[in-house]
Order: sequence, then C-alpha cells, then structure tokens
Amino acid sequence: MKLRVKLMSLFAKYGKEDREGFTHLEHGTTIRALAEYLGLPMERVKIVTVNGKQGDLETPLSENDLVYIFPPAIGGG
Amino acid sequence: MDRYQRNLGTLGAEGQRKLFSSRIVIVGLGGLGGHVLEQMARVGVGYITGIDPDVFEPSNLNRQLLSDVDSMGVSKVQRAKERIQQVRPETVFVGIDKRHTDAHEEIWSQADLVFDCLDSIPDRLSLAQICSDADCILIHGAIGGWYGQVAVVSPGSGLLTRLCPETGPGLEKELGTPPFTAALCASLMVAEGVKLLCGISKEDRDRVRYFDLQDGSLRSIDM
Repeated sequence: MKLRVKLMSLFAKYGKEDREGFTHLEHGTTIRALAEYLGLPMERVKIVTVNGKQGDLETPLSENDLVYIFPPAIGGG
Repeated sequence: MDRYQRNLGTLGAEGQRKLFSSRIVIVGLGGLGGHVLEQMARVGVGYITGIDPDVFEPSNLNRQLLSDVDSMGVSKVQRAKERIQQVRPETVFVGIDKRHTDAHEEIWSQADLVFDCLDSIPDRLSLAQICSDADCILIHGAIGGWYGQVAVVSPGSGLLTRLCPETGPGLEKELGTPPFTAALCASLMVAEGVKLLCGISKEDRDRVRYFDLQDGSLRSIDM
C-alpha cells in the first residue's frame, strides 16, 4: 500500500520514504502496522491523523492516504 | 486607559473589561509560565495566582523570562511578584511557593482559567485531574526542541491522558527547550486563554494545536 506519511519532529528519523515521498506498507492495513513497520516507539504514538481526521492505532488505511504521526511534547519548565 | 489602547482594537472594550476582572492560575513559572505571566499581566488580567516551589538555576537562563544572572537561587514566585509590580501593579498577584498538589482547593474553584506550564507527565496529569474536579478549564502547553503543542482541556474530557505517553520522558530530554519554542508556545496558550476570557471564542476546546518551527507548520487536530 502506497501512503504519504509525515512523521513530525523526533519521529522524522524513522521515515522510510521513497524518492517520490511515498511510504510503502507491505504487511497490514492499520496505523499499528505502519508504526511497527517504521519502528516507532509504540508507547509514544499518541496523536495520529489520517486525511486530516484523528485516528488511532487501529485506524484502517487505504491507498494514497495522508498520515501524520506526532510525538507528544512534555517540556515547559 | 492609554496603556490598553493597543489592546482595544483586538479585544474590544467589553473584552478588556472582562480581563480586568478575570482570575487565572499559572502552574509553573519557568519557560512557559514566565511568558504567560508577562503577557497576561500586560493584557490586563486582574488576578493572577502563580504556583512554583522552585528557585532559579543557571540552566534556566536560556529561556525563562523571569530569570537573570542576579536571580540564581531566588524563588520563582518571588521574582514573579516583583515582575508584576514592575509591569502592572494593579494586578493582584498571589504567589504560592509549593507544589500545586499542596495548594488550597478554593484556588481552583475560583479560577476562570488554569495554565499548565509544568514539565513532567505525572504533574501535568495530576493538575488536569484537579482542574477537572474543580470544573475549571485548563490551558495546556508543552515543548520539545523546535516543536510544541497547545490544548484547551475541558473538565472531564480526559484529553491530557490521551495526549501524554504512559512512560518515559518527553521530547525535551532529547531535544532541549530553546527560548523561541517556549515563547511561541506560551503566546499560543495566552491567545487561547484571552479568547476564552473575553468571550471571543468558545469553539477550541478539545482541539490540539501542534507547531513545528523547523518546517514552520501549525496544525489543529480535533480530539
């Protein structure tokens, strides 16, 4: 499945985009499968959007979906 | 009223009057809290309670507006009180140099808004629970590196629990907390708070705003 995946901030280093900016998910059809494929720390995958709408680990994905995954920020002091 | 002249075009006279009688609590007077305090006083908020048990240390100097080279070892609450006197002495400031969990219950029930300017997950979650119990709206802000998040948390929404990871440190342990990210995050928090206090917006609850200063993006997500 060909996806457009935007990994924000600290997650950017986990990206596996091809030259055209697409991520190819070979196994599975959910955000969880995508996160596992990318090797993201699962406990920190809290905020996800798919085509602009909030999703979660079980949200199903379709060809050409636009996925954003945000790590949580905690600092402030 | 000259000092509010540059507020009025944005907030209106009625909005400005509402701020004069507004009561806010700022929990944490560090990187976020110092900027929130400064802006809330300058915009004209009448009553501010600041809560922080800490004193300033050298690692604060890169971003914490209330700190300077003369304030090392000085209570953050004390500096906040002095700053309010310099900037807007009409604001009634109450400083509490304890943890928020040790503050009196009426502080929360009397507040129009509470600002979460803390820096650890357990503290943030306990403050969210206190605000929820007191039926008080919480403005949450957090940063790490170039990146930050701001949310308006309604009582009982559980939004912060959904945002925070169960374990481990946040981004800031790896990415640091630079001054520009702290100042922008605080400004977004203040803007959300002022909109609510003035009655300009009631629509932004349970919406998270993420910004990334590396790519210049700002995104809003309805939760």
